[in-house]
Amino acid sequence: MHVFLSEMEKNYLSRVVWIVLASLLALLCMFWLPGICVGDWKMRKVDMLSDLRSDSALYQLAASDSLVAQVVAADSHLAEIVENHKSKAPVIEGSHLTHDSNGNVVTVEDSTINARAQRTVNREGVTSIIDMSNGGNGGMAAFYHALDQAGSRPVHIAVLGDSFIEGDILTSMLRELLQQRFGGCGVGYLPITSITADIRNTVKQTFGGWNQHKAVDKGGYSETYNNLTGNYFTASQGAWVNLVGRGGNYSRCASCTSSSFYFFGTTGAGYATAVVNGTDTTHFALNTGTLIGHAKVTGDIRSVRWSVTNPESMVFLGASMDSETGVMVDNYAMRSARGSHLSKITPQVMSMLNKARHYDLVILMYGLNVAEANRSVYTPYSNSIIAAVNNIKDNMPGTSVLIVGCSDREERFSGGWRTMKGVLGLIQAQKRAAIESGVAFWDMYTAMGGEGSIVEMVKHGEANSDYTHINSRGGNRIARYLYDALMLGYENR
Amino acid sequence: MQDIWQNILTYLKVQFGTLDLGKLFSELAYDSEAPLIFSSGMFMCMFAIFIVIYALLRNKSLPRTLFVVAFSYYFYYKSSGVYFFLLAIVTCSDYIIGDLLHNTRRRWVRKLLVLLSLVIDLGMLGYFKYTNFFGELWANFNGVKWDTLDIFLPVGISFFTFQSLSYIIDIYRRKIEPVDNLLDYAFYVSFFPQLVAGPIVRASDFIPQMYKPVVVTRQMLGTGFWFILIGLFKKAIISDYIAVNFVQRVFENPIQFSGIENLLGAYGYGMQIYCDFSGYSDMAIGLALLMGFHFNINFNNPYKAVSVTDFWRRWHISLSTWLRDYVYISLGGNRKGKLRQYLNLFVTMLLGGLWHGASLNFVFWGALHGIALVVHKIWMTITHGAKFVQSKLWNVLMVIVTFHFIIFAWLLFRNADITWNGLFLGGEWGNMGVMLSQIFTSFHPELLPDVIANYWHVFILIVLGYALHFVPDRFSQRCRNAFVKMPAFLYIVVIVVLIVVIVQVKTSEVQPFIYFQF
Repeated sequence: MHVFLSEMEKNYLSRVVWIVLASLLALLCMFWLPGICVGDWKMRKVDMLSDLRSDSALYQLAASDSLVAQVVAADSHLAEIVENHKSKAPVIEGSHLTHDSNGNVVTVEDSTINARAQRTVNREGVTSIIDMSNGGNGGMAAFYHALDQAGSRPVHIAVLGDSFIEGDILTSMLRELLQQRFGGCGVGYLPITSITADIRNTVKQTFGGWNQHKAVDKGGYSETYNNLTGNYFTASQGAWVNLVGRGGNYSRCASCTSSSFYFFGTTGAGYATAVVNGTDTTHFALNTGTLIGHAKVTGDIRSVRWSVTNPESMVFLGASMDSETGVMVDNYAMRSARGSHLSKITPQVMSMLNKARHYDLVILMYGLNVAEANRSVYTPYSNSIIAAVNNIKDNMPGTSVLIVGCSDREERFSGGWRTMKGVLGLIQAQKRAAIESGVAFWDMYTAMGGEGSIVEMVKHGEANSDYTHINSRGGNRIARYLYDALMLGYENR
Repeated sequence: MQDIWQNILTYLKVQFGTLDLGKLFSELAYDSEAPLIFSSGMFMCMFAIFIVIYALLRNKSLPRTLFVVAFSYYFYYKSSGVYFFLLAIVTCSDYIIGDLLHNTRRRWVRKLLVLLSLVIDLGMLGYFKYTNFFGELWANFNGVKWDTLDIFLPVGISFFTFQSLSYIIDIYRRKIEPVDNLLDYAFYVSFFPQLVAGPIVRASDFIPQMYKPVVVTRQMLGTGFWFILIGLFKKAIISDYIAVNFVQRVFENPIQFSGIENLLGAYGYGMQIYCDFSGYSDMAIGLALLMGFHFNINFNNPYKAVSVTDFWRRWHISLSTWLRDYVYISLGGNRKGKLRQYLNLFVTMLLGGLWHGASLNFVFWGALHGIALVVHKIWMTITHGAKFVQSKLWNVLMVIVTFHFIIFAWLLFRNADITWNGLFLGGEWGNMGVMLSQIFTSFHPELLPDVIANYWHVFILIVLGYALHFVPDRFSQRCRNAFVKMPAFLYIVVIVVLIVVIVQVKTSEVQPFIYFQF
């Protein structure tokens, strides 16, 4: 006890010094530890001096060194392809464009590289669309040509994506801007039910009696009915869906002039009933004899309620609010989607979809569910996108395809935020897919502002603080960028 | 042999070659976005250098004091730039006033001196913190527009002005003697562990310790590291992770979340704010102990409180006792009748609310707590001597009720967008209204399994936080004692392991936001 007391009275200040110094030294040494992996989990580097390292050094140290090198190499290689082509492309002013018999822009064939920079007129601040189609099938020309005809026929755009655009985020403003310029009204096509129905600002969608089958689910999804949305529905007797245009910020969605109801054809006794504006009732037999059929009502439609009778063994897709002319933008958001279901749609379904609702432009806006923090090479993903694009090109001739690169997404770093390196590699893969399948590419990451841009968006209340998903305000901003890019391409057609 | 040498050289090159000397200077310079927080690697490096010099100067009182003051001023400069002159103003004026006060017997002169100190300290606090707030109130009242003035809010100004005031008032009340010289006073006011985020250390507690030799006992050594580690765990692991991955996004956009998520977000916020605030206090207490100074404990498992009164004995104790001794008692305390006591309680809490931030929601928050304290006082008068209030079951019930009241009040604390019109004239309640309406009209308990499955990391930490909070005091005391008795080299192991874990958590992948159907 006596010894203990004297021990307690001793001054341990120097012990404090040794403990602090030894701990610090040990932590500094941890910097040299090789990466430790346990299963999928990789230990992150402990770097007490990270605040003092130059940014480029941090970049190198962040992930495995090879990752950054690969991304940088791929980037410069692709940039070279694009640049090389730009310099070879003749400068064509809008008035000097030549058209072939179909009205498509005739472009100069580049025999060495199957890619073409589409730019002829540049505009400051606009991240332009790079069309790698050489004017062929799948290129942007068909869509620009369709826009010229928007006064006399409907122009349909499908935006296929994931949770990034859930709830009509981004597409609502894109639709509004295009409809303001080219006419058209209505929210477009909607899968019959949606888990994000409550947060859509463009349409009030209510429903009951349906059973959803999703491509992202492990079971219960038949490849036979696989389609662009990646989901389909079975119904119980009397199942219904009600659509009411909201208006508000997106005034063009308040009402529309036609509404269609899409389903897989049958020979059964099922029929659908449409009630327009709560009063006008129409019945449609569903035995259309085609693989994919649709029923359609027209008029001044502010609300429409579709319901089904005797739907046993039938499969349903969605309902729409459209107009007979102008531009319709359909939001096909499926949470967790990567776009891989697109290559598996059967040619029959593809061509029937094309008949039922022809798309002039399909925009592929995937990536967030593909990006991994420490991956630079996404060849399998590239290939799946190429297969998806080829499926569209083969079975939907005359449809333009635009691949949109992944958005900025952050990873945590010493308590701060910076762009996840895997995103950069993914964007290269998406660009490569566009080059190899000969369609157009738009670099959303650059348009947003590049490195760390979503951090700024979070600061300005335009993105969620998961530093991954934008909100509707952020969506409006990016929609304007995309609209500007499309319009720049259109003016240069 | 040459190979080994070569290897070492390569290592050194990677370790130091990537360092950017230019960055060293910019990192050391003032940056309002990057204050020196205790949980940063930068602070650990600087503290290591600091403690070496501090130990070397242990027996040289004057150089040591000078060194600590210089370091503290630098520490303050790092977060507030040139505004460290405010520290100097408060220090000089209160030092002089304190001296004069001590040497004057005339009552009116003494009162005048205290008033002068109040005017200087609170005037400064008022100008930097509340000008725009009161300007806007005044403009609203007169129906004109207030052009927000660009006034910088110096970090910690609410803490060091209150500390300095305690010195003046205690001299006025003849509870303490003034310090010997200006440097000593500067040491007290600027002492970096508690400078920017508390605890509010009383002059009467601190100044006597300054004049004793610097001694760190074995007990202090162990307890100091214990507090630092606990603080780091609370702040850098629990608070930081649950804030980024769940709580923050619920509060930013509650409409996107179901009622159950909003409720879990509110519980999460209760844990987040406790871990953030008490964790920082713990680190301050630990650092001070390692330098030979005892601070009073600032948080004592506040959610174990059986009443609001009890809560304020456990939450931010240095502030609540400060308010009690210098505001509530100055207003007359309980010496002027029951009604006046209730009013004093209410006013004290109202001011206490305002102290937390220049915004109406803090005033409402303080007022709500004030009302609750009054109600509890009345309740105690009614139930005085009743048997049932002493039963265990009743106490458990009261802990649950109190906890939910506190959580409800945090909603006011966290949501700055609530307005006078919203609260009293039937207008919108901002995000708080949205949260309540989601909880009460769109609860959707069926989503619970999905929510937990998606955010399981977050909920493990929240549950762990509450579990540790509610373990019996005896148990945590035993853990602390066991830690203190550990051999010192094991401290190094624990420190290194904890910091490695913190680095993993700080750079972990973010849980992406998911919208659940409701």
